[in-house]
Amino acid sequence: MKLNLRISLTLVIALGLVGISIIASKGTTTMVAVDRANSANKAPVTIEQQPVDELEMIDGAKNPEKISDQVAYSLFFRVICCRHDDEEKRQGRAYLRRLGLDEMEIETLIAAGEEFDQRVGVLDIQAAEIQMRYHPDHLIVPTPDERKQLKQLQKQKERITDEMVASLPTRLGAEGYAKVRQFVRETMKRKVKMSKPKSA
Amino acid sequence: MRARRLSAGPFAALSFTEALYKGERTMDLHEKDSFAQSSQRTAATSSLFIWAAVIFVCLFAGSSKPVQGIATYQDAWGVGDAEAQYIVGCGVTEANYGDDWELHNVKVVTTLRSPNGRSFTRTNSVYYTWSQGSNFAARAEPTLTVDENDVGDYTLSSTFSSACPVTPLGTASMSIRIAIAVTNYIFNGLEGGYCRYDLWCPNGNASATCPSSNPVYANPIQNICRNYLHDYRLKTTIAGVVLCTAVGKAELANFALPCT
Repeated sequence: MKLNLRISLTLVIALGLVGISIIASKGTTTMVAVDRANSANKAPVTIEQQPVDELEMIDGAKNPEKISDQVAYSLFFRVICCRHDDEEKRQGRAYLRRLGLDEMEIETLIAAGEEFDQRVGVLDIQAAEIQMRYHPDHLIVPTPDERKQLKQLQKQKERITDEMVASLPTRLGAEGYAKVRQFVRETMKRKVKMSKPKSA
Repeated sequence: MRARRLSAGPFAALSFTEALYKGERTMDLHEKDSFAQSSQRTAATSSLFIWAAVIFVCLFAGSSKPVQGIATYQDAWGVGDAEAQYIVGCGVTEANYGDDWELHNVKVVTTLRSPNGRSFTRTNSVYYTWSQGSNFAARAEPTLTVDENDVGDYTLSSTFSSACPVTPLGTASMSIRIAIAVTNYIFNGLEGGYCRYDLWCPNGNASATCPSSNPVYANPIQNICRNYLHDYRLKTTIAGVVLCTAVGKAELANFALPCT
């Protein structure tokens, strides 16, 4: 029994270590970074840069299922919001009229788009503030802590998108929401493309 | 039959179990005791393997990164009224905050071009769009009036990029078939004080139209219902999907127009 248990425990630990080492090696980004606070005293830490040599494209026209709802709805809100003059607003309403929504539903949806912009705009500013610390040369890259902050801001943005989408049935009613969902999933996603580095 | 001594290991217990099941063997008290212990060891060992597999899978699953990337979107639609009709083109791009490639100041340049060569280009980056000055999203919306002498295939093309660092992010192109759809209706009597008109195409081409409804009702002009009603709509076809945009333009006449 002891031998069996020892063998089993060894296997568990070995599997765990293999898993951890694979995760650690996955997506390792290494950059030349300088600890700004102690740059006078410490040598730069060399980290390998993840090469951005080619873009991998996901074409929604061919694979609409690979475009997430989060991405599609975020773009949707970006289209319908932030229209400042009468002509832009008229264009925005015409965009939504295609969905078969009535005027009240259109106004409700535009209000939701504005709310999305206000909530996400706060995160945009915080993220931009971090990026702009290294603008325009970007020779020095964000610190790991700043990267972590950016990723957390991204998660917050995704949460806001999910919340706004979840609120649409209440705002529009079941029928209105069904029209929006059908448009986003069956029409809009087919016109979306995603680009990301091949190495990501 | 002499009781067989169980050997160590889970598989010995399994083969013994198989023999029991087949009725080839019976167990004495010592064997029952040993079998129970062996079964427990088998169960414990199996559990450990299962947990090991679960931990391994969870580690892999937990290691998957959130989707990173730049999203781009392009679309077109019609808008208008009795005075003028427009085609609106739209290019939008949005970047994630935490990408390893640290793009910001995204930009989109969108051009709408008519069959006769008219074009309008709009360039929008962070400095021209969102009130909060987003670095991570941009939208450009060029428009062109729809001239009845310039109908056919319009093209919409967008170029997406990042201004910092300068990085091309792809292009998009689409064709939009534009037409002014004319629907002809014929007078079919008075109803409730309104002139009733039913869909009727002298050229039998009813399928080419964008009828709002059938029949339609109109106010008489100086108490007269003319013989025909002409309804005009902006018809856009993108990737086989037809959309008819009401532009509030209609006229009563004494002559029929072919439905186009």
